[in-house]
Amino acid sequence: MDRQIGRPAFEAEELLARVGDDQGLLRDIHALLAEDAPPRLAELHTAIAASDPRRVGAAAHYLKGAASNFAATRAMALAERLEQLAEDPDRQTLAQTLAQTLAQPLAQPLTQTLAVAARDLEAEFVRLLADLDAFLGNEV
Amino acid sequence: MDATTQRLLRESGALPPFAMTPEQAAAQTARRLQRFHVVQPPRARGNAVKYTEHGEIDRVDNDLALIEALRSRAGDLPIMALGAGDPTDRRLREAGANAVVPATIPNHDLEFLIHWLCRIHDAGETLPFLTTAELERARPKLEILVADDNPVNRKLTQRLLEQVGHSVRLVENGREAVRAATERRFDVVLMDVQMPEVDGLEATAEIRALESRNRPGQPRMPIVAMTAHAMKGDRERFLNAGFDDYLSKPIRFDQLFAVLENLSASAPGGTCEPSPS
Repeated sequence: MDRQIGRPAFEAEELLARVGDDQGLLRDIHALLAEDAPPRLAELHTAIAASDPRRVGAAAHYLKGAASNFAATRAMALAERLEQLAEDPDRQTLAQTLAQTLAQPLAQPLTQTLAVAARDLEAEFVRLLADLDAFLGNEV
Repeated sequence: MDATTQRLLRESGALPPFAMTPEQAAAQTARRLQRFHVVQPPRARGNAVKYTEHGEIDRVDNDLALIEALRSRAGDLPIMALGAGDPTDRRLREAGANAVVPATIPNHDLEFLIHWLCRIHDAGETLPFLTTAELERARPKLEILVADDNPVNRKLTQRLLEQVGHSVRLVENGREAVRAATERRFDVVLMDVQMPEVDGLEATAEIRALESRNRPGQPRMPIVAMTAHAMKGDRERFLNAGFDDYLSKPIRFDQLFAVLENLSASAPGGTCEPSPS
């Protein structure tokens, strides 16, 4: 995963194809994302703190969709991992086992795993918005 | 929206839906082209070329060869000059071309246009020489309801649809979608499946229930599911839930227009396929 951090957070060619090479449209949806993503990420953190897998899954699914509009491959993968962790009981068990193997405290292993994954995702969205800014700036 | 389109869409209710890929839509267009003797002039560009692998098309190298191909045509098929530079070119008309399709139109327009010409031909009417302005008038102007909780999705879908002349009403969840759909009939509803409050499946079930109560016997409103899941078996699940078709997210130009085209093609007699004879 870390290898990908050096690369842009989105695939420019795919993104441009998706908006039909419309720079104005790209600016508009970038502004919408900048407005929409922070409250959605906050909701994700709140849902994790409340140990509510259904809400965690819904928030992660939403963020996955938001990332997919921008061909943001890594953000999509991170959101999907969170969604799976939250929604699939087998994976929850798996995550629990994993957390135990990693010698994390037994009390809240899943919550911790989710919290770490959510922080990763948030950092990736910050990177995505910055990369889009740079991309749009360069295109002017 | 013009009367023909209205009729096409009104009639489309009871028929089994399509879920075609852009490739299948292109193949369907290519089959429709078999109704014509198609010549492809030298200036024809990419979107016309993509149909040539499916059917018999005379490709000519220059204008003289084009005129010659038109004059020496065999058989009774009407001639369509596909991707010609100037639809009002008098020489094409004098040489016997029945329809001329402009070179500069995008794929989704080309598919609509060929379907439209095919239906005019089947109805025994005279084929037109199309200018871009005439095409603009002929293209269906649909009224489309878009239900999606993601503002970026709403914006993208709205822009794509408005660019080709459709008008769009946006709502943010299933409850608002049901309310909007009961206030008036839309030509097409694009419905996100996973939404807060009332999701797309519930909203569609509710719209279908209201339709059978308030408008029994009337064609139902075409509803297209939009989903990021796109898993095996989804198609059946969505069709059983009352949807007419589905789009996988993120929405792409070509898929969106292929679905809209399929909805109007599903009208009775609207497929314009070669007759089985």
